[in-house]
Amino acid sequence: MATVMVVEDDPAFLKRFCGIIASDPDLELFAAVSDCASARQALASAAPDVLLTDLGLPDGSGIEIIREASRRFAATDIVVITVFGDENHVLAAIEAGATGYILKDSIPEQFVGLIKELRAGGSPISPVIARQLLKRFKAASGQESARPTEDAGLSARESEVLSLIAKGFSFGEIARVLGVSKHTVTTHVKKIYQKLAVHSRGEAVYEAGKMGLI
Amino acid sequence: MRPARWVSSSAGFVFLLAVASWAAAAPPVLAIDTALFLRSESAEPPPDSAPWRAQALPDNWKKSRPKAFGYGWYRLTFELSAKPEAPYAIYTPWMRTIGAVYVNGTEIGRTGAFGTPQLSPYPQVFVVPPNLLRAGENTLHVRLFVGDAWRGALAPLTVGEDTAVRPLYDKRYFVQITGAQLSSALSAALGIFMLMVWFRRRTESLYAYFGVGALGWAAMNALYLVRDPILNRDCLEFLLAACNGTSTVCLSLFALRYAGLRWPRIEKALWAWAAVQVALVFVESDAPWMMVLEKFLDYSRLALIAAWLMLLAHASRKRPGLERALVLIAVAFFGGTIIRDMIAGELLGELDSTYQPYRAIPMCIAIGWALVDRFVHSLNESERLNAELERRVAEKHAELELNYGRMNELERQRAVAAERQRIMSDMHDGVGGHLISTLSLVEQGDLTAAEVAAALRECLDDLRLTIDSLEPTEDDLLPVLGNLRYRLDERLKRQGVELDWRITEVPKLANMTPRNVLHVLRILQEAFTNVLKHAKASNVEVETGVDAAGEHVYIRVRDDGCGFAGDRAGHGFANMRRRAQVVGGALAIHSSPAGTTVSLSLPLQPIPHSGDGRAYSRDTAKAA
Repeated sequence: MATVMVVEDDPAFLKRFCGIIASDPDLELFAAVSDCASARQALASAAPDVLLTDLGLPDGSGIEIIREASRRFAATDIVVITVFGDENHVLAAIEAGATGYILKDSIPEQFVGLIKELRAGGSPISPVIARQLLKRFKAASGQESARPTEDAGLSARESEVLSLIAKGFSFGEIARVLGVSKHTVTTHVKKIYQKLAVHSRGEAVYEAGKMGLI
Repeated sequence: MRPARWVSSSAGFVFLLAVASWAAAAPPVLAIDTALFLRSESAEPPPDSAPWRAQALPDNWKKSRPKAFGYGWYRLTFELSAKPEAPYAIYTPWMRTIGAVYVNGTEIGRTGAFGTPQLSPYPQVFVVPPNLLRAGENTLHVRLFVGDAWRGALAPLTVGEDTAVRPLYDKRYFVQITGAQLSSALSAALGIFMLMVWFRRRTESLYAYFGVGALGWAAMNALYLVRDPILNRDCLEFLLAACNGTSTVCLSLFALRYAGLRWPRIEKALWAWAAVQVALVFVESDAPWMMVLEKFLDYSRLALIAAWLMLLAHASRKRPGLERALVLIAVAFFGGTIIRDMIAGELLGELDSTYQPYRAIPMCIAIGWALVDRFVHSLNESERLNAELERRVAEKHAELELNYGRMNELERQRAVAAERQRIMSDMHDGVGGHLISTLSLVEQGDLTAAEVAAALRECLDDLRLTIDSLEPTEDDLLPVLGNLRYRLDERLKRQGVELDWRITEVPKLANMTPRNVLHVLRILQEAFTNVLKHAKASNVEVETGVDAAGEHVYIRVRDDGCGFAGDRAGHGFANMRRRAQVVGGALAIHSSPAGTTVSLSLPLQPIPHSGDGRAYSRDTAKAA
């Protein structure tokens, strides 16, 4: 049983998400709110297993909620809700600490499947995002080659996974190519997300700039 | 600054004054300027009974007995109150050409070997042993030898204690000999320096003329000072005439150049004049024309000197203040001392000018200064030009940067406009078209809710593809394909279509601009749409590779569906072909009841006039 909290200012979608959660026996609604203030209130004393949040909220940016939640609740999986899954929104959210994203028009099976994948330690990713991540880490390792921090760079296997994803291969196909399980591939992706978030924590100012876009 | 220079340039004269005051402080001496003269070949002083005639000193033979040469005797007397204790000395500024001095009948010294005349400007001093002198009247005899055509002369004699007379001699020696030597050396050094300047700047003959002139002048002065000439008289005179002529002509030409003038005929005439002067040395004639010619040469030399001095003075008016002052002083000094010497020679019978050796010094200073001034001026000028050049370069640089900025801005605006155009036409063909057809179907009420949802999802997918195409791809096709798959995966899965993804690394493609990427995406999307909507396939294979010729990359979409007959979906295929053409590629479609294969091949090398996208703009304009 996983508790899920939804932050979404569009009442129709909020209702839709709540309905999906209610209809799955493995999920339990933690809270359903439509702005930052309510979200903070809901998160004041306890944490959900999964936090779903939109970015454009009436009283602020979902990025702030993501950042706060990721700092306070290491065990919570944070998922950003996006219309297009475009890299500007998704990367900003990942840098703030999200480990997944979901398209707003996802059908219930996708929605539930994603939450279960996250709980199992995996993360979703698109080829465009994979490509952007590869670029980010390449630039970062170029800049910080003198600093021996492990999380600044990707391992060889992680790079391989990212570049295969960028070429459109599915997790299953990648698992076959690398001779590992599909689950291992998705946990690689989650680790990569976490590395980006750790790496980006030092660039909070850069984040603030990004928020102008959101 | 200016007074300091005046002081330094007149230091020589101050020094001469100092020498004069030092002489005045010595004990009294006896100057004898009257004598008796007798022409006699006798080797001993002739007796007092001989026919002596009174003769004032200085006695210049050229005036008192023109054209005479040979031996002559002078008899002078002076009174001493007592027989002197200290050594006495006799001094005379000139004794030419060879002389011997006798005191009370005993010879005390001679200036050289009789019979070999010298051109000697040297002052003479003779020491008188005290025992030769007596109280009362003492007699001096001077035997003088004048060589043929040499200038013979005797100056007044000064008698006195050696300590009193010696300074007079020293002073005369310093002014007449040492000073002249220094002056010659200075002039020669400047001449050589000027020639070196000319050597590096051949176009400025000015420096060459002054250099040769100064060297000639220095050589002439040095020749006068030769004590025992190893050359015979003809040789010496030839050299003197050559130096003098060359020097005069060169200084005249220098003056012309200094004034910025070139008079080729007159310049030739000047050289001819110098040649005549030199040639005349070898002519031994007393003919009247010879006398006339000599006179003419003498006066013309004076006229020439006057002319170039005036020219210099005139030309200096265009020059800076200090240079002008120096040139005017030099001209005045040069001309003034010549006039003074002529007057002194005529009226006082003076043989050697005190000023002659120094005549050129102010000129050397003035011309040296002029040279320095030019040099500094051209240095300053070149620095100024450099600065000007730098300024202009900086100006141009700024201008270029500005233009570059403008061009950048224009380019940016153009790129933005092109991108807007691309997105607009894509919206028009893609999501816009979908929405309109969905809307009309909904309005007709022909659709179920599920069908509307599917149609709208298609719109969303379309929009997402447009958004994905905004990402820079850097000529890499694979992320484009990967993303297409990612976007289509869900629909394929829902329809139960298995996808065989056979993507391999392919070389980077030419012309992969965002616009062309979108065309490729739309072609493949259309192919998939056909598979999903019409083919009823269960397997789709996507494969990439390079063709056998290595010139094209192909992307093949093959399904195992029912295929199609005739021109079903003809409009869709026409659109795909058009897009393929725009990106410079080719589209091949094979369909059979066993399946359909759509193969897009894209060039690796840029193909001119086909992939720049403008053709597409026109096409879409027409299509619109």
